[in-house]
Amino acid sequence: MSQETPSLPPGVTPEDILQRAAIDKSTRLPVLFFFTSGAAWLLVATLLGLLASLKFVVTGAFKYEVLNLARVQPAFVNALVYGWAYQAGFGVMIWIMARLCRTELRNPVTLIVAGHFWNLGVTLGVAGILGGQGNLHMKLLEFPAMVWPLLLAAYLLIVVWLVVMYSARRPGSGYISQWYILAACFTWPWMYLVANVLLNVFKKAGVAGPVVASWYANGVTFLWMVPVGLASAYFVIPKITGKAIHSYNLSSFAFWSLLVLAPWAGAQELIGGPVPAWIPAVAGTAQILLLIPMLAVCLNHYQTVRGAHELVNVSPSLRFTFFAAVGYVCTCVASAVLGSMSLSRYTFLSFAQDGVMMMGTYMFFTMAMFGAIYFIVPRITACEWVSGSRIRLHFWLSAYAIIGLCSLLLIAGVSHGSAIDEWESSFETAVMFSKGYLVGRIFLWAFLVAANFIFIHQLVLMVMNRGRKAGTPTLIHQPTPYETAELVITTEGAEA
Amino acid sequence: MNSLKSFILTMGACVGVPTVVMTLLPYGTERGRHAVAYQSVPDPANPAAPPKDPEEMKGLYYPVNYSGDRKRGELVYIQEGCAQCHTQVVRPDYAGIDQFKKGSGREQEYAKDQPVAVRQTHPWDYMHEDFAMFGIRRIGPDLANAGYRYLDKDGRPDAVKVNALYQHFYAPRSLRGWSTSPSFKHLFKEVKKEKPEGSADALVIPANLLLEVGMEIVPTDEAKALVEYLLGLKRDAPLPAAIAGTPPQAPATK
Repeated sequence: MSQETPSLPPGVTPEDILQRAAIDKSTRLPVLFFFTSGAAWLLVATLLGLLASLKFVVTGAFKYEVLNLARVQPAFVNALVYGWAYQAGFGVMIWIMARLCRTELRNPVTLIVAGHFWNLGVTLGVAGILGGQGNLHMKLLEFPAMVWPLLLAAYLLIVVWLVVMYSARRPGSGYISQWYILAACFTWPWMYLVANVLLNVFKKAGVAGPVVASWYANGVTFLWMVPVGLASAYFVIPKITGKAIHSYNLSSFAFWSLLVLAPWAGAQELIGGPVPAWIPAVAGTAQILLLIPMLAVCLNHYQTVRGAHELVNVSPSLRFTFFAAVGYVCTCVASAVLGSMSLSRYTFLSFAQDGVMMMGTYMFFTMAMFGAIYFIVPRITACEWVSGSRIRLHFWLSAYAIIGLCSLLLIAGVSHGSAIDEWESSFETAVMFSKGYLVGRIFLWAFLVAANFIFIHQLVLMVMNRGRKAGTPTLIHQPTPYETAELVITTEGAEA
Repeated sequence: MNSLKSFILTMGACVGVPTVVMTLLPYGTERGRHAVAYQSVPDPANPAAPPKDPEEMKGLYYPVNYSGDRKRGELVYIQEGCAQCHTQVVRPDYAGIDQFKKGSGREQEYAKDQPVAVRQTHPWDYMHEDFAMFGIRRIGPDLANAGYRYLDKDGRPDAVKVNALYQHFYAPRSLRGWSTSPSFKHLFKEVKKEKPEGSADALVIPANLLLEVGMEIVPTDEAKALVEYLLGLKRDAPLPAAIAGTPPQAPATK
């Protein structure tokens, strides 16, 4: 393991090393549980996504009732979000929180039990959707109504230990990653509770239903995925580059402006819909203002990495995190642009919204989680990733596929929507306009499936303790003799 | 942030206020929404004409809740995922051409250069729904006023068009080769013909869609409820004056 390098980085004492090892050991079981079960759901989700995109074009494929396109599509989205994204996020949250609080995790078994309940909830939910019992008219709330108390309870059972850890942390200044993780601990259960109580318990929501659902769905991206993804980035970047985050004030500003603005956004996708006009107007404004925290985060990350950019070539974690940062920018910009009046005419509830969903969930969040997993897993399994070239392949397959996928969906949305927005054209025109992009989407999904097979194979080897036993981290490329900075990536710098 | 408590309080304020404004407030508005009585007001297009007899308007409210098979059909619409690809929204003209799109409302065969605007959808149109059926994506045609597409000249359901709707569910590509709609064959049963002319419910479909001779395709109750729901989709009833903003008739006072 990296801690065994003979020369310690400045500011790191042997006690620190021992403590880190103890923390890693205490978090090992729950974190690996969430990573592996999340990865299994990722595989399910990508296969369902491939199937859904296939069935859009080859309409006759797999004619089973449970694999009907109208059920596979929501099953894919929900499996990706609740099965993979949340569980990968749990693992990252637990580990980073324990490391930054410098406390060992005392309740690994509780977390694993809660994790089983979460998996049960997601399984029931996806099975319910495929079995024809889902609420398939509510975006990201498609699971049958009976599932939500289970998911909420499991979530609370998981995050309560994070809050306990934070309040019992060793005294010292808080880290920005901790704030983001804490925010994610509280925001999601609140939004999920509000949305489900209004829509599944009280009902009779009328047009407030879509308003609440779009508020919730946007919140999943901007108040859960963004905090967790940024927490991971704020942790990984300083660790790899060996430098402290550039500006404390800037990161604090970005954090609070995100929290102030994001809960207003979401309903802008209903522009022109039969809702009071101030609702999409306020939401769209907030969505545009969300570019401010994005710019602050970007500036901060850029200044932190400055001078060490070549490490992106070497470190798998930094490369995935760097890509995720680009995905974060794309997500914010695309969300803001699609909320604009002139474009929403053509993109009203179109494929473009799917594109933005994939940007937030995959191009940003999933890639950030890959980066964190490539960093965390060697530390808790005491072996190293098997092959740098496979990580490289995983990266390039994912990167090309997700860039292509999001672009195709955005273009398909605009061309489909603008064909609908013609006076005379029949609906056939719209279908024909978007068809080419949907054909392309199938191939890109196939790339994603291949990438995820590589990832899961590597992860399973690590979990089975069949990784490399060498004491040096697996790198994407071996650093050239000219690169003197390579040493720092083998260590964890003093600044967290 | 110094303490966990102040962190949580600040964050609670950040998220709590928008929660109230963006979700609870609209929800409260919807719960407080009531059906509105039609009132007798002068026709704005023809102010000189005498207003309608107030007696005739008595007891007429908008909207009227729907029940029975249509409610059940709504559940089928939800669970089969129709809303994943079909919207039910007519946007105003500043946000799209929904109001003038061919087939978007009652005026099916209007003259191309003299389009008659379909009324934009309004919160009252969804008042009786637990969750307004806006839909998640507009991949297929909008269905806000789909009920008009299956009527004959006299405004009654046209048997041929309704049969075509069933056929669309059963085998979408048999009607429109370009359709990307999934087939909902599981809403139908393939049964042996009892009588040579077939049962009354049986679909009239091209022979090549049948697997065997002597069989027929009969819609299940779910399919019938779904069709009932779609035939009832007419979100363009004239709005009562109180909603539409027309000034109500001045009370007869001295």
